Amino acid sequence: MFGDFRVRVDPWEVDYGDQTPLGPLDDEPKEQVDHEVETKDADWEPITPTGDPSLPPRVVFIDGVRRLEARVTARRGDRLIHGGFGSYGVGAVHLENSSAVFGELRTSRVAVLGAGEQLPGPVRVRPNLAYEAESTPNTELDGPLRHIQKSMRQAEATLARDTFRDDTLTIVDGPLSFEPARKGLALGYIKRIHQLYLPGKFVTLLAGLPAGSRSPIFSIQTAGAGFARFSWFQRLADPGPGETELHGIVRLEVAAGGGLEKARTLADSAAAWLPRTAPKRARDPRSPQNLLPIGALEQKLRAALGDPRLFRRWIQVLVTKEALRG
Amino acid sequence: MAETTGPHIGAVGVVLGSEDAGPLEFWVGVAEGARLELDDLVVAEVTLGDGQIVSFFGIVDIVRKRYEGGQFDSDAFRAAEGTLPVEVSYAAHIQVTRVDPEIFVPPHPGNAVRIVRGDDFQRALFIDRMEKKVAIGHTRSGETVFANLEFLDGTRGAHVSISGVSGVATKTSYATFLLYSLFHSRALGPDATNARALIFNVKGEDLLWLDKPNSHTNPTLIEEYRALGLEAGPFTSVGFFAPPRRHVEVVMPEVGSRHEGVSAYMWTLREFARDHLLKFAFADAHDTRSQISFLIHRIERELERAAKQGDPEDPGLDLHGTRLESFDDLVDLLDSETLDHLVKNAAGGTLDAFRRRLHAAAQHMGHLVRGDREAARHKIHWQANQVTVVDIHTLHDIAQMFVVGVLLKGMMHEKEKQGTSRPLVFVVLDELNKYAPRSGWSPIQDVLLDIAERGRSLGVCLFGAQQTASEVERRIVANAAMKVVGRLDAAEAERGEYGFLTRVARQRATMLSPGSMIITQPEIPTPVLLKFPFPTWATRQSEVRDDGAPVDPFARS
Repeated sequence: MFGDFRVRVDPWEVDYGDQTPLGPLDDEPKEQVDHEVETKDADWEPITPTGDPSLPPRVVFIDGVRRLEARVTARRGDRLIHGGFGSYGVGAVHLENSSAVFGELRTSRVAVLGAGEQLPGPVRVRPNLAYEAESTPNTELDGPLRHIQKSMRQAEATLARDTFRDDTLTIVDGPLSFEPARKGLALGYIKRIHQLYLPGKFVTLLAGLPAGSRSPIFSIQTAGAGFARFSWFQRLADPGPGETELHGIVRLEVAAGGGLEKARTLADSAAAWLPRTAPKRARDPRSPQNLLPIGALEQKLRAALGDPRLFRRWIQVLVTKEALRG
Repeated sequence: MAETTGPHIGAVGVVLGSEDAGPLEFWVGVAEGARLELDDLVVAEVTLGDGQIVSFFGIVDIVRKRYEGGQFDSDAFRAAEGTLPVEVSYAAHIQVTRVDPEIFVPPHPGNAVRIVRGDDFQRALFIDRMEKKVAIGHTRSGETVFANLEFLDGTRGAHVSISGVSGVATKTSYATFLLYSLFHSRALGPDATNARALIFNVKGEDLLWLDKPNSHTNPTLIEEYRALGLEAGPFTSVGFFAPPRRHVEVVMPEVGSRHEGVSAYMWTLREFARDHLLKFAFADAHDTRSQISFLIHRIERELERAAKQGDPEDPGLDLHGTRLESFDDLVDLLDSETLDHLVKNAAGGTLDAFRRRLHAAAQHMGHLVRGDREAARHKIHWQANQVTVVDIHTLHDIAQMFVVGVLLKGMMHEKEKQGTSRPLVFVVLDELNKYAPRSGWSPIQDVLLDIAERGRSLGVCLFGAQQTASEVERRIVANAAMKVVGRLDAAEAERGEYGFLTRVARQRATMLSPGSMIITQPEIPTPVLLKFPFPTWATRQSEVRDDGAPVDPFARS
C-alpha cells in the first residue's frame, strides 16, 4: 500500500477544525504600494458613499475550508519525512433575485508527503473513499498543511473561473490570486489584516473609519505575481467600547486592469452593501468579518467533508493494519 | 424503488439518520418536491442480511420544516432578504403501526419510504387480518377504514364510546352513520335480518327523519358512499315513537314537525306494577343506602302483588281495595294513609320525602302511565322495525330517565330470556353522563352497567355518546371496544379517559372539524383520524327530498 515507506500515524491529535486563516500559510511576497492613486496623501479621509450600491445582478461568494485529519511520518531507510492526510472543500453561494442559494461544492482528499516524496498511489481507507497521493518540496512539519492550503486556494480560483459570467461579481476569500479573464468582476475579500500596506500616519484614519465607509483606493503591485491590484479598507460594523479599533475592518482588492473609475464604483458599492451581509456577534464569533454567505458556506463545506474524527480513525486503522503486516 | 402489491405512489423520502430510527418510530426526510402530511400512511421496506424483507408500516403524526444548520431565529430574516443561503429540511415522524413480518430490527437510514394505498393501506392498519369488517369512514386521502365487526357484535368485544363537545353535530351523526353502515352493507351477513337498533332521540327532532331521503344527496355524496361499499339513501326500516300529548284524552304523539308515521308510547298501570318500574320514576341519582330506596322496593313488591291479581289484560289495577285507572290515582292513593299500611314501621320523614318526590315525578312522567284501555295499545314495539327511534326530547329529565330506564331494562330482560347473543341489538344513547354519571348511583346506571358488562354475551352493543367521558361511569367507558372522539374541549382532552390518544391526537382533537373523528379500536395500535360522509337521510324537515307521488303511466292528462 505504501511502497517502501514505513508510514506511522502521529498519535497526537491534529488541531482539526481550525479554520482561522493563518496568514503565514499564504505566502505573501514583497509588494509595492502606491497610496496616492485616488487621493493625495494630504487629503486622505474616510469616504462614505451615498446612494444605492450599484452591483451586478448576480453576486457569487467563493470560499473554501481545509483541515488536516492525521499527521504521519514516512520513513525510508534513514530518511524521515513529514506527511499528512487532509481534506479540503470549496464552494459557491449565489445571490440573485433576492435569494441566496448554494452553488457547486467540490471536495478533495489528499495524502501529502514532504521533501518531494510521494506515496506510490491513492490510499484507499474505505471501499469508496481514497486519498490522492501528492507531494510538496517543503520539509517542515507544517509543509503538508501548507500544501493543502495552497491546493484549496487553487481550487477556489478554479471554481471562481468556472462560475465567472459577465453579469457576475465574484467575491473570493483571501487575496486575488488570478486576474479575471473576461469582463466579469472579481473582488478579493481579506477578513483579517496582517499587513497594513500603508504608512503609520494613516493608522489614525483607519482607527476612526466609521461603519459603511472606506479608505481611499491604493494600488498594490506584487513583485512576482504579475498583475496590479487596487485595494481599499472598509469597515463593516463599529467596534464596541473597549474593542480593538481595527475590529470590523476588512481589505478588498480588485484587478487594476479594469481601470480606476470602475474600481471606485465597485469600492463605493462594496462599502455600502457588504455591511448588510455581515452577521451579528451572537450568530458568529467571527462577526462581522465572516459574512453570512461565507459563514453558511463554510458550515456546509464542513458538513460535506464529514466528521474528521471518523476519517482519522479510518486512517489509523489502515496504517495500523499495514504496520502489523510488517 | 421498492415494489409491492397494490397501487402506490413512489418514494416520498428516506429514513433519516440524524434522528434515531427504531422499529416503533422513525423520522423520514421528505424529498424535494414530494409531500407528506399528517395522517398519511407510509411504509419503509428493509432488506435484511439474509435477503428477508421487513415492512415497517406507520402513520405520520408530526411533520415539520426547518432550516438545516440554521441556529438563530433571525436567520429566517437573513434568508428572506437573500443574504444567508439556507437549506430547508422537511421531515415527518412516523409512528409505526405494523412490522411485517414481526422482526423488530430498526429500519436503515437512507431506506426509501413511500405512501401506501389500497391493499398496502389495509395491511398497514391490520385490516387485512379482519375476517368480518364494517366500513367506519375514510381517511382524508380517500382510503376506506374498517372496524373489526368482532369487536362490535360481542364475539371479542362490544360497545362504542363517542365523546365530543355538543353543537358540532358529530356524535349522533356518527352513531347513525355507523348504524347505517352496519345495516346497509353486507357486514352483518346472516345476522342482518334480525338485528335491531334502538335509538333515543335526545335533542331536537333530527332523528325523526331517518327514513326520508336527504335533498342534499348529490352524485359526489353518492360516490362517497359507494367508495365505502354503501348505497346512499335513507334507513329502510324505521319505527318512530313519541310520548303522548298531555291533558288530552285521545292518545296523540307529541311531535313538532313530523306527524305521519309516529306512534305514541305509554305503559299501562299493570305493566308499571308488574315490572317494578316505580324505581325508574325516582331515577335521579341517589344513595342506595337511603331509606327511600328501601321504601321504593317495598312499594314495588306491593304493586307486583296487586298486578298478579285480576285480569292480566286489564290495564288498570286494584291496590289495597282501591281501583286505579291512572297514575294520578296511584299518587292519590299513596298520598293517603294507605302508604302507612303498605309499608309499616317507616319513619314519618322518609314517607314525606317519598311523597314529595313522587309528586315531582308524577308531574313529569305521570302521563306516560295510564290505566285505561287505550294505553294498552301504545307499546313500543322495538323489534318490529330494524331501527326504532324513541323520541324523548320533549320530556322532562325525570321522564327521560324513566323512558330510557324502562325500555333498556325491558330489552335486557327479553334478551336474558332468549339466552342467546343473537339477534343483535344496537342501542344509541346520547348524554350518557346524565344516565350513568361517574358519581352517585341510579337504577338506570345499573341497567347501563349491566349492558356494558354483560351486553357482549347477550348481543347488546351500546353506542354511548357524551360530551365528556370523564363524567361517565368508569366501567361503562372502559368496556367500550371502539373509542371515538370528535372535537374536545382542550381541558377535557388532557384527562386520563383519553389516554388512548397520542399527544398529537389530543392536540388535534381540540380542532377537529365536523365530519372528522379520531377513532381507536383494539387491533390498530394508533388512533386514526377519519371522515364520514354527510347523511343521505334527512335530519330535519327542510332536508326531506320531495320525490312526489309516483307517476302513474296510465293516467290521462
